[in-house]
Amino acid sequence: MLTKIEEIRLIAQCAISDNREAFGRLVEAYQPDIRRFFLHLTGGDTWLSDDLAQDTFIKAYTGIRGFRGLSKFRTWLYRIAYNEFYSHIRRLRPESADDPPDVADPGECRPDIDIDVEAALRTLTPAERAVVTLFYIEDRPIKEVAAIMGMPEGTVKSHISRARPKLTEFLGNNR
Amino acid sequence: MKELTDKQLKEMLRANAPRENENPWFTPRLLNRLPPRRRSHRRILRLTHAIAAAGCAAGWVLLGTGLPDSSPVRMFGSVELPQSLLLFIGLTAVTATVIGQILASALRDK
Repeated sequence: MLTKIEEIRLIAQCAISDNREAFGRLVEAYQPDIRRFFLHLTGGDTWLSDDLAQDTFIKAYTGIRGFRGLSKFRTWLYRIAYNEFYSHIRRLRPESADDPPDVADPGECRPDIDIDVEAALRTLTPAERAVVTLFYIEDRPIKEVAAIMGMPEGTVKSHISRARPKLTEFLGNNR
Repeated sequence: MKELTDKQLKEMLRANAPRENENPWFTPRLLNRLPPRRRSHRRILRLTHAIAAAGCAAGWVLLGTGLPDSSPVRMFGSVELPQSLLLFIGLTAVTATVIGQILASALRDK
């Protein structure tokens, strides 16, 4: 875990002197969080998660001089990650990016866990999934979720309100 | 069915959410995929190094020989020892840092 000062120093080194070693340290610090975020968004697809995470960090690297420090570096990174995921969804299904994805195939359920969170998340729309991941699983405050997703806090709360009954129903039927 | 609360959902989802696998190749692979270094950056860096090196060289020359007799700080001669020692240590530290930066930059370029 990087300290705030260390993080600022590494970001400055990347922005000013194109220091890849410094960027590597930032990646090491944040890659578990970003890969986990994608793992939830993609419904447990490890390969796709890693590919999207790679693209996220490459975009972060090329755009690091645009980071003004108005938000936390983590929030800025998650915002790039969310945009990357949204672009991926749009590439797959340009006309229906907000539709819920296919419901989980029962054969994909993992017997080793009590609740199949991946399957539960797949019952939600991509935006709801992102909100649920950030708010419930990553325990981010609503303000930060709104900043990451580039939407008002009220919209984030609406997504949570819509996702809650769906999750309740799914978890109630699948426990 | 009674709707689960935020707290209950948080606990259930967090306790059962899958974790990412360890991937030791993630960072090396990513660093290999980064776009080529920006040329302007390299040029600016080299220019900065050259200026710093020239400054250090001038500092050493000035410290060793070029200080006027009236100056209280002279390396060799009738100068006050603590001041010259302080200047010497300071200049050594700056020079070492500059050399370190130049070497690190050269190694990174390789």
